[in-house]
Amino acid sequence: MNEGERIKKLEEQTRRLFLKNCTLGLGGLAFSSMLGSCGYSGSGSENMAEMGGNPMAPKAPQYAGKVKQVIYIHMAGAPSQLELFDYKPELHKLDGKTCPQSFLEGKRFAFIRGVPTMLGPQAKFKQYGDSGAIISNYLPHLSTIADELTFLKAVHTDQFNHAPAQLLMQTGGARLGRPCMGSWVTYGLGTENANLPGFVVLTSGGNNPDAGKSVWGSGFLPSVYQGVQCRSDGTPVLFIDNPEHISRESRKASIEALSKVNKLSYDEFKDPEILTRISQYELAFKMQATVPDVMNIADEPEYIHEMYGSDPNKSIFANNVLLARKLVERGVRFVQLYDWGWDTHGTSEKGSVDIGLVNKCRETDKSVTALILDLKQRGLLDETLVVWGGEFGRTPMQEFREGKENIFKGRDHHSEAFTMWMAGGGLKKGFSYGETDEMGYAGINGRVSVHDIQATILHLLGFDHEQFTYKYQGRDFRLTDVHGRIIKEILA
Amino acid sequence: MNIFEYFGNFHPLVVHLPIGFLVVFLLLGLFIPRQKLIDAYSIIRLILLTSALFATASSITGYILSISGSYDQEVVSNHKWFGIVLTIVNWIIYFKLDYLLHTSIRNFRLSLVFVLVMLTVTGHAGGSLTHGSEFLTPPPPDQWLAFGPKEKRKITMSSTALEATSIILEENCYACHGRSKQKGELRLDSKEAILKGGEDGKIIAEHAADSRIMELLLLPIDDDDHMPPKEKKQLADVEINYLAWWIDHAMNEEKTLEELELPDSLHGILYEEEIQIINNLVPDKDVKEADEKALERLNGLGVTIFPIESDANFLSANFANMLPENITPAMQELEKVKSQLIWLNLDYHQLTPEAWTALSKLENLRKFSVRNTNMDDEFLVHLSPLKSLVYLNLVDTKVTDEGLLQLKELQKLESLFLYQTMVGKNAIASLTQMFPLARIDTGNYFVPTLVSDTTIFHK
Repeated sequence: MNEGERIKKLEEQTRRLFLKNCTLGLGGLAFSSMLGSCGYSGSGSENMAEMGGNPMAPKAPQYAGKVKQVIYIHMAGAPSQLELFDYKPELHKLDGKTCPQSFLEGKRFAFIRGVPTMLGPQAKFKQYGDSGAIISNYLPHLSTIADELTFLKAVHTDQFNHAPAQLLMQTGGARLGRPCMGSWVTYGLGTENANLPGFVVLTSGGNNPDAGKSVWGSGFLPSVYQGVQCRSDGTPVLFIDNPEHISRESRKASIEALSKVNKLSYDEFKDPEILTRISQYELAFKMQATVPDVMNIADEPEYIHEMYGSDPNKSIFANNVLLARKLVERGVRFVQLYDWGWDTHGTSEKGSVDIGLVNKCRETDKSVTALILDLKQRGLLDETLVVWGGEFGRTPMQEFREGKENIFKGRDHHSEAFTMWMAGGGLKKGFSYGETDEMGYAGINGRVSVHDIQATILHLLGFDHEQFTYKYQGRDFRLTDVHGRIIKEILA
Repeated sequence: MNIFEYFGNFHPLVVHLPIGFLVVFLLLGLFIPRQKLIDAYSIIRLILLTSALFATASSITGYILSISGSYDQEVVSNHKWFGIVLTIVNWIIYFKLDYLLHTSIRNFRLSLVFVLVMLTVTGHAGGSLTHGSEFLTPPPPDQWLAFGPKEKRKITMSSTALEATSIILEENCYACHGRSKQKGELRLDSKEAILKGGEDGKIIAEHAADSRIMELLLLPIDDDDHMPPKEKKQLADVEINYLAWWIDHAMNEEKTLEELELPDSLHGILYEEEIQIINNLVPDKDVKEADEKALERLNGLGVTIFPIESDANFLSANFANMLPENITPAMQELEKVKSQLIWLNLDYHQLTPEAWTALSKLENLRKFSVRNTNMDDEFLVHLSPLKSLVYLNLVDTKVTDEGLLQLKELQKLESLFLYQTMVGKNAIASLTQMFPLARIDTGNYFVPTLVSDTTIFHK
């Protein structure tokens, strides 16, 4: 906003308007967000409020990205890397022995108290593919596509409780209030299909992630960029049909009238939240036409259902994975999947690394494998990034809750080392980066932090994570805060 | 450390008190008329007494600190003697103040000048001791207005091993073990000095594993002997590993890291070059800006068209939001931006023959997707002039092996997707010959259903 406009704006702050704002209460807030500027430095993208147009319009990143879209599969609860990818024969030998003091001194765990015993790997491991990636017998399908994957074997975080760790992984900060990765990406790139939301969230496993909906919230970014959660059973989007006796034409007329009124209001107040409202109404109208087609997995051919293990009559993870492929195929920018139930402490059969974890793998292995292969054959894997991981890892120790051994075999939350994998454009395929010590307790080389992963994802999409900022409360914010290094070792 | 040495540590604190009082004395002496000074005689005496007492305390604590021995003796000696002289002069002025003010104002002025000079010289010597001799050296004039982060020496594969070591040590160790300070009588700013060791003896052994320096670096941070001290900036793991590697390579001086084959795991010490992005989907050389009117018309027709990167003029176009009746005019309009247009997506549309014909003009296309369209062998011929194509997606169209023969001039093709087309698996061999660079994918992947996929595991 130039000086002249600013003065004009101030002149409009009449006593009458002031009183009106007071009665409206939130007027002051509107004014403050009007002053906040958007736009990332070093790019031609303009302040959204100045654009006055569609906030979801596609925008150019800083440089041509290797990928255009992301499917992020977050296994909420944190899968055990020691049963899936990080094979530790030495740990096997120490099974049942007392944990060495060096693992406990000065460390804090979520539940382990006292001195626990070590717990050997419960799965059997083999090497697969030309790359020789090590994968356990819990994942018989994924192991067949080992050469498509890029493993990060020594990821570390600094949170050992679910909610803050999930927030850190998704928003770059362990506390509430910051935009998640999907919001940043849609804010930066917009979306190419105007008839669908740019950022879709699908949950499964019976629960939302522990951090709640904040993990797909837009934080301080305009709320148009928050994730749109779709239901995984029944109609994916509620109230998508017009009520009885309302025709599509009359719906259109009423939304147009509403948009006009909102536009007037926007011209007066320049509050980007009004633009959000306009575009949400328009999107909802367009979605009435497209959603029944795109979101309906029932129309997919039988062999596709067999490949994914999906079933339109149930509410299962595989349906979400298939839906994710359909959405990405139609140009949705960011699809975030959360599957709940990976927290294997050993307090119940379901939450154990030798029983419950096996069943979680059985629920998800086939569909995730199918997703990679299906994207590949459709020519989409080159321009899509698939990320798989939890919010932290699990301890090489058997969990001793309050000093007593848990009834089932289980592992506590572990922040020092865990495995994630990615697949898609711009990555070295069939590559493994990072290594943990003999016990799988901590990374000994190729350690990467949560912010490193975020920096790398942004890089693949065409953003320099240090330049991609949003000004809020007087300072420039980044997804990676003040951290993050691009993991260039895994880039093709 | 005994109790005396402990008092020595208070020197940097106590030393500032006499400085302050002497400055007050100087200001009064230089700017207040003599008569007024005589009126304030008792106050001035009090100021001088205080400064003299603290100066004495500073001399004593300073002397204790100097014999603890971790300083450059030459600079210490200057500072020590200046300080002692200043203290004595201070006492003299205190006892002779009456005489100086009443009888010899000239000597009074002289004493002021002397104090001013001694204060400056002593302070400077002291400052050089604590912060290093270059601390107060002004930068060369051409850098006076250079703001922003300062340029660091960079380690690259062509740095010699000794250079790399000195860059790491300079950043982390020289402040206490360099030219102006030698804590523990140890200097690390030359290879000879490193070999010599400090007051506890040698720090380097034949192998890194036996070297005292590695032990000190690797001790837990809470250990009193750990280096650098807990509150100072710590070395990165990779820097410590590099030092060990360097010791094990006989502390090589001349060879470059390249020649010594620096292992991958130590590449973390190298200066990170900006990441080079190799992307064959984008030309190296930028083009001029696209015609704005053409862009407006395309937007009006519903084409989603936007730049691929913020600082270049290349365009990507997507027909995802198009109404069927606008497709043909839009395809024809695209010719106006053909030099900029490098990515095009026509997925899920049925195009008229005229629209397909317009395709042949878009000769700069690098990435082209026509999934699920009415593309067939007849229309495929319009692709043959698109010699820059790198990515071609023909999934879910009616093209056949024979139709693809029309594309044999597309020698830059790197990815060709043929899932759900009439192209059979057995055509791959001949296609691979035709497009030697290309990854050809006919898809039809399948994930078999295992018993375990549909059953629940129990023990």
